[in-house]
Amino acid sequence: MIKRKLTLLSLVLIVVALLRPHAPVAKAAPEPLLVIVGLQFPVNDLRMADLKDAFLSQPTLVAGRRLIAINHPINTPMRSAFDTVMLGLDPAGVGRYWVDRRIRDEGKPPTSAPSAEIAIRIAASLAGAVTYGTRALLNPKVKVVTVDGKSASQPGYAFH
Amino acid sequence: MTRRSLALHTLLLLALVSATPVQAQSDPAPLPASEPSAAVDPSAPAEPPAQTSPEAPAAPTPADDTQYELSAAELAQLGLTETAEGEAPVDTDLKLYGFVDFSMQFIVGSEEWRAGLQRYPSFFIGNFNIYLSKNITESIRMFSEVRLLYLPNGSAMRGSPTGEFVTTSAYDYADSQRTLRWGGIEIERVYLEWAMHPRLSLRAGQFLTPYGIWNVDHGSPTVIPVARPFIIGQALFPERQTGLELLGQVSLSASQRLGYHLTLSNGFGPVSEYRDLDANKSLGARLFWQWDGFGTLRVGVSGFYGRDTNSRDIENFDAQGKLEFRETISQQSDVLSLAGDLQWRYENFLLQAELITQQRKFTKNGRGGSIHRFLGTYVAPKDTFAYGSYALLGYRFRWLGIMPYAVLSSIDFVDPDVQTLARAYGFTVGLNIRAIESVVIKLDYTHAWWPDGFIVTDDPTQTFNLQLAWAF
Repeated sequence: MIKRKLTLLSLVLIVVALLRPHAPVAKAAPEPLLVIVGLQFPVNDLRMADLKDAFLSQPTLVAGRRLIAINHPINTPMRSAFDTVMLGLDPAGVGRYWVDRRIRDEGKPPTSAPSAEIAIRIAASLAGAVTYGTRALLNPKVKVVTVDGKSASQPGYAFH
Repeated sequence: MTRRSLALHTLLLLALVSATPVQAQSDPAPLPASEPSAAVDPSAPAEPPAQTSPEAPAAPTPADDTQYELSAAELAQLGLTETAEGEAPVDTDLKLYGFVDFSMQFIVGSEEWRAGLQRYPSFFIGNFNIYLSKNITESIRMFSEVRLLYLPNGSAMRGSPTGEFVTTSAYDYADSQRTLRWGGIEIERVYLEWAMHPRLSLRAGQFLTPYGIWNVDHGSPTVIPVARPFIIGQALFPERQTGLELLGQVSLSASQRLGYHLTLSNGFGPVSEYRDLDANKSLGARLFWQWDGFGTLRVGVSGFYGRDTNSRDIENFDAQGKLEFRETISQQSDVLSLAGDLQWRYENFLLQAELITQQRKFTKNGRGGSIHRFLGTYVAPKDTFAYGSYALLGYRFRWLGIMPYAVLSSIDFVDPDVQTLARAYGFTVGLNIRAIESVVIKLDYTHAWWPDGFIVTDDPTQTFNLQLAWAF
């Protein structure tokens, strides 16, 4: 009897362990991600819809300029946090997502910079480039834009 | 089994359960090495005013620029070549990629089905598809996909009383006249795409018909099961069309998106890839709505209307000795296909379903029949209404990317051999294992049955499939 209960309990716990939703990586980020563009970027606020379009490789115009999404390297904490918000996928899911899209001919992923620092430097150098990062990555040639009118310090900011 | 061991066992399992999210929630690794700018005060508010206000940018010295920016050469190394003002960088390299699948199929049970489909378990390369794409300018690109085939070698000659099959054996002049077997090429799609506007593109060429989910997913690494459901394989919409396609997407909000496709093409037909055998161009449309609010929900509707003609021109000399061509229509019908689809992804769950219908009405002079190869009687085609559906449910575990799945499918269609209604149901269970994003292993079992019988046999079909598919 005890053995049967033990087996049943084990099965239940294993199923729970496998099915238990994993906490999104975004929630583990120590500080909110900032959306970063070059100083020459013509606006100080971006719509979340436009950001999403750009990072999903949809052609996106903002103030007449093509938005160029620049990602961080895959499997880095900020990239994972950003993808969780943008795609709702973990790193493995993101890999599958882009392979599938390429097979359907639905576009290729945005350029991935070799490092977070390079991503910021691309934003500083290339008109229309947009990336993300934490405060520690900022340099004098880039600026932070608000998203849907909200800054990182405001409630309802998309990348909390 | 003592109470102590029971408690220990339970504690271990509880530890396993609680350990899983701990791993997922563990602190992110330290950021990649980067030097925080001296201009940024770490204790400053969320967005330092000097950097959020374009009116008051920081003023770096020229020497700072190399530290904070990239040169044109460095950008080019990353595929980000600077172009004219206002234009995005464009990578004009020719891209070569594709996918392959290698399978083994094992049909069990009925001798008739095994003889008709595959008598013995066999290994085979099913698809070896090569993609070529190139951005010609920022807004114009070309795309093509070809499938390399072993066919037509080994293809059965339907109705052959001696069971012959096509052979492509040829003597290889480059190898001492030894025998080789050549294969063919199927052009899956090839088009030029012009992005006229961020929300509007035009494709000209041959493209996959934009209907439902499966036909666009298309590639074996992307689709979940090994085999297509009946309703997709039956091609109630043309699988691909040659003509023009307008397409685009509009973001309604950060969580809602609307997409559309409009097509004008040769439609159905035995040589629709390059010739329309009637004057009626086919029209098609697809509209979908995607909502990223509770997982990702996508709902779509598709339609197609066109004339399907099979005809030939017979050459003759008229009374004046001039060559004339007489059009002879063997079959002609008007086809209306309608479909609805739904896909819902919530965390690791996937639910996908499609309902597809086709109405076919033959024209007055287009109902040409033929002598049935088995029955020996004249069989003329009938107006038909075919329909079917499938639903797929799956859950992808993080562990090795394993997705157990189940598919239920059905179809009511007219058996082209005997022109009688046939009904089939199928149930598939399997595993889709995608531990590496570009490599998929699939194992499944399908049980299909024919409640009203079928010309081959009334027995159910039972198929085991094993597939290894990879993208490159």
